[in-house]
Amino acid sequence: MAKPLVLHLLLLLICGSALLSSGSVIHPISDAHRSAATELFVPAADGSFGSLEETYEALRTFQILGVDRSSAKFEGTCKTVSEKLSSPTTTKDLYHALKITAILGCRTESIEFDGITSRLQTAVKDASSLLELYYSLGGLLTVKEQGKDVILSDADGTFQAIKALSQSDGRWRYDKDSTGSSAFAAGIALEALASVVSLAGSDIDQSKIAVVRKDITKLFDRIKRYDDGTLYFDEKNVDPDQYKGPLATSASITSGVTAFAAVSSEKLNIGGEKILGLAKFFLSIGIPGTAKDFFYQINSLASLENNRISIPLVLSLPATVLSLTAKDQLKVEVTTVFGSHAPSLAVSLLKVLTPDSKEVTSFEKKELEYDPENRIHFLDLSPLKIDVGKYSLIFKVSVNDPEGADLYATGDQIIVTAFLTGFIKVDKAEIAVSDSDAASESVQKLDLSKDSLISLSANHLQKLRLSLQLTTPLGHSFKPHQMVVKLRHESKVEHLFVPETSSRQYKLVLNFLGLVEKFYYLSGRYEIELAVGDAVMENSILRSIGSIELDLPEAPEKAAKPPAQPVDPLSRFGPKEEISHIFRAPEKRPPQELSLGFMGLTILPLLAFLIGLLRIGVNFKGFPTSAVPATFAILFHGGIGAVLLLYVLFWLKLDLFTTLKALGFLGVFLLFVGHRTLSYLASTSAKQKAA
Amino acid sequence: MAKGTNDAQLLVQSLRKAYAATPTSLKIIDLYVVYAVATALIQVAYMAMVGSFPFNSFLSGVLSCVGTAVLAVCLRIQVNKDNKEFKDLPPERAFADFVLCNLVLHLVIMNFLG
Repeated sequence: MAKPLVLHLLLLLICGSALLSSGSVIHPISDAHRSAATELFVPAADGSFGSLEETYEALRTFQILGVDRSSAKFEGTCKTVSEKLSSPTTTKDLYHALKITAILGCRTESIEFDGITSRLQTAVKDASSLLELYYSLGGLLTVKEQGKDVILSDADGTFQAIKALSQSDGRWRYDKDSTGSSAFAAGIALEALASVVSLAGSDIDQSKIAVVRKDITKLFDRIKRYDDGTLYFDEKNVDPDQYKGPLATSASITSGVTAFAAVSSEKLNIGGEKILGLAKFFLSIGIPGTAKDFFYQINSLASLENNRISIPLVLSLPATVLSLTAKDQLKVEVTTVFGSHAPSLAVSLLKVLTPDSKEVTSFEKKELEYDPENRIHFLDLSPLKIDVGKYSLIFKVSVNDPEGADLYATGDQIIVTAFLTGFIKVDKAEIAVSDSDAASESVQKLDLSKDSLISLSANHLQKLRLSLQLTTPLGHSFKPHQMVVKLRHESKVEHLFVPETSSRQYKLVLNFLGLVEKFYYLSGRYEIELAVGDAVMENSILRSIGSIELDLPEAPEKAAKPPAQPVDPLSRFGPKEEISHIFRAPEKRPPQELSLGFMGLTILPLLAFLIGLLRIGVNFKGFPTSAVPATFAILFHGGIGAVLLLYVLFWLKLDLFTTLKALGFLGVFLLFVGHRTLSYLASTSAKQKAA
Repeated sequence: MAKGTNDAQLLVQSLRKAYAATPTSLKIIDLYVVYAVATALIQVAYMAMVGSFPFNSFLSGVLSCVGTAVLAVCLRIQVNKDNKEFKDLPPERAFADFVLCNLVLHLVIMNFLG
């Protein structure tokens, strides 16, 4: 009797531990995706998005998301594509071109489908690699979907050809000669096999399809798992240039498996949990950054949306922060991956867990009510009496229709993180200054709801006490993430203190005697600032509660200096104060009259000289009388006068070089003339002496 | 005492008589020297009164007077017939030297005057 119970408990524990971990936030595809798609896929002027493959990917994404494809640009695309179809191209190009024609709904009158069909059929027969088969079969299927008659000649043989490339571990090779196999190739092969079955109809042996089903099961054994139940495929042991990455591999396998499930009469043996895990993987990417990733994500989700195995349903919360003060309701949406309508469901909140994984015992399992108008399941939180904090909510979704339960994959337990915020009351806030012997205390009540500031004074022998209590809306004592008291001096030197908690109270005691050194012996006015903050606290406090005049002793010589305060960047790099130049004070000059007086006084000796000359009896008797010597004499005196005039000009305005040049000329002239004059005078006086 | 002053008076008178015998040209040169030195003294007195700014101007002024006085003295020595040393030097040559040296001196003085 006990054994099955123990086993049941064990299983529960294992399941519980496997699933009890925080889940990433998953939202279904929404308008954000649509606008991102239009931004990411930007067509060139002629309507193409690059190569034919890229154009196909862009248009397919637009088609799935419902983005408008009717613009005039795409008419040009239709034309290019139809040209491609008539000219000889590769099978891959044919495939993409046909797909584009189908998506855009291009006019097909001008397209020669018979020729294309025969080309593709030849390609199928002559195909040597998996990709060739895939493209040609896909092309034929598209032509058939256009309404044309397509016959696959050797369906069995083609099926065999594709199957021959499979490996025992569920993966596929690309062609007969390559040795490496990959899961990506498996996805392509499955899609190709599905195309064969759709084209051939009932010609394929059902046993062969059963074998492929087994292959798919083996393939799914290779699936990888994240803690929160997300599943994906990745490759190991592949060539670096063959490696496609988890997104591409998972996308390829998803398309392949869903395509095969659609053509297989029996249901595939893959649990709904695996489909949901894959859906979660694609959704958890969010909005991809590249066009290729976007296509992979959207294409895979489109194949999952309407697949025949089971349709994944996603639970999401439009708001994960709920306010107790505003009496927010807990709202939950359950939709398909594209946000469309889910069938009738029952959503229940099983458990509420605190961050350290303890259950909130006061909570019992509750079923959420359904609002059909907004298609939302909701629950009122106020009667639940849950306090503020961060919680992990565990939901369970079950489809009401028991037959439909098989069709949809809802997952077992869905874990979502939510915050409940509320208004935190501050009680019994007090600030007091007491003497060191705790004899007397001057207590002041703080009312943090008002803007009042208190003003205290203390000296270094006293103590400051600050205490307060924090209470949640439900009356429990609250421990915030952050509580800091800051004392800031007038000179902007700051000191931070953290109050201690004891039972229900937060208390900070500052013994100034021990803090004198820490405060750098700075006396003066200190502003007291209180900061209390928490993620779930709606009324976080950051304010100045007053000031305290501190009287500290003088700093001894060896005391540490307060740290340099950061300079206001504007003052350092901003405009500096204007410099007013202090010019050299001009020398004291004597008054003008004195200078002029002395100038006159200097002339006096000259006058005295001239008068003296006259008194002595100067005469011009020696001046030569005959013509030529006379002219020379005159020129001599004139030359000397000219030189003196040159000197005056030099002082007044000429520069040395001009003066020297002129002096050179005058000097030569003067020498010549002087020589003549003086030699004449010398000869005259010699004659006189002789005579 | 009276003899002392008498002696001084006699000395001055005899000097005057002797000086009257010097040739006119030499007397002109002497007067020129006195003129130059007097100008220099006036400049020094001015500087003493108002201070030495600008010093270069003061120097050039004083040195031009002193320089020209020195050149004039040289001329007197060379032109004096009683001077045996310069017997063979024609006075015109001395005068030409005097003029040339003065011109060069005054060029430098004008440059330094500022």
